[in-house]
Amino acid sequence: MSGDPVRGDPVRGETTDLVAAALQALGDATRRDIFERILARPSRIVFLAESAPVSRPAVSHHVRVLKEAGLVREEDGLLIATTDVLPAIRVYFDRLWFEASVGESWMRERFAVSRRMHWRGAEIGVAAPRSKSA
Amino acid sequence: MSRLASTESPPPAGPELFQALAEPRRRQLLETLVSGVQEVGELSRRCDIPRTLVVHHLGVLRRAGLVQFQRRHAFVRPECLETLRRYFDLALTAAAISTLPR
Repeated sequence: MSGDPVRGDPVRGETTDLVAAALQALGDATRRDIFERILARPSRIVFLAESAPVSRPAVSHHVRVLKEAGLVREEDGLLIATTDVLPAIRVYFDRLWFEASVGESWMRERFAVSRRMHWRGAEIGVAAPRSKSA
Repeated sequence: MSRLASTESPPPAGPELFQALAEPRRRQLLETLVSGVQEVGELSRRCDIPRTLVVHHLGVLRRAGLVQFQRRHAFVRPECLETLRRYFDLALTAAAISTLPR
């Protein structure tokens, strides 16, 4: 079933629970702002709290959610953006974009080409070329 | 309304967009929409979400710029997904740079 949050496959355009947790974490504007600042440059909660529009405990909470979502890790108090979940999120949107824009016409084109080559092969009496060359 | 929506420029990666994506059922609707299901009743059946809730979630997706309507059918706007691909592409690059040994 598409959209199963636990067994999803980003390549099939489904969210895994990791992708789901990350997108859920980024749904909050303040949290995404904090994430973007950590992305731009590894930082500490003290520095983040200085310029954030919310209190320091609130910043700590947002950072904790980002860490639990696997988007951020901490090394000696330094918060660093990880590359753990981002590739899967990118694949998820790649797939959705592909399906929404070129997916169908690409498939049609691809099958039309392989069928044409098959028929040509039959005409001149040779085996149809493998689909790899299509 | 639908005419206007189709000529809008691609939406920026704004708060509405990410808020719309944070809800599991809205993502499920989005996934079902790109698979070619466009009609509200059919979406409701496929996703096992009550019709009124489907209408509500589609409204949120539309305001976020992800979905547009044409003749009572919903369509995903690829330009908006393009925005998201670019966003996470940049995010991944930035994260990869910050994990480099200094």
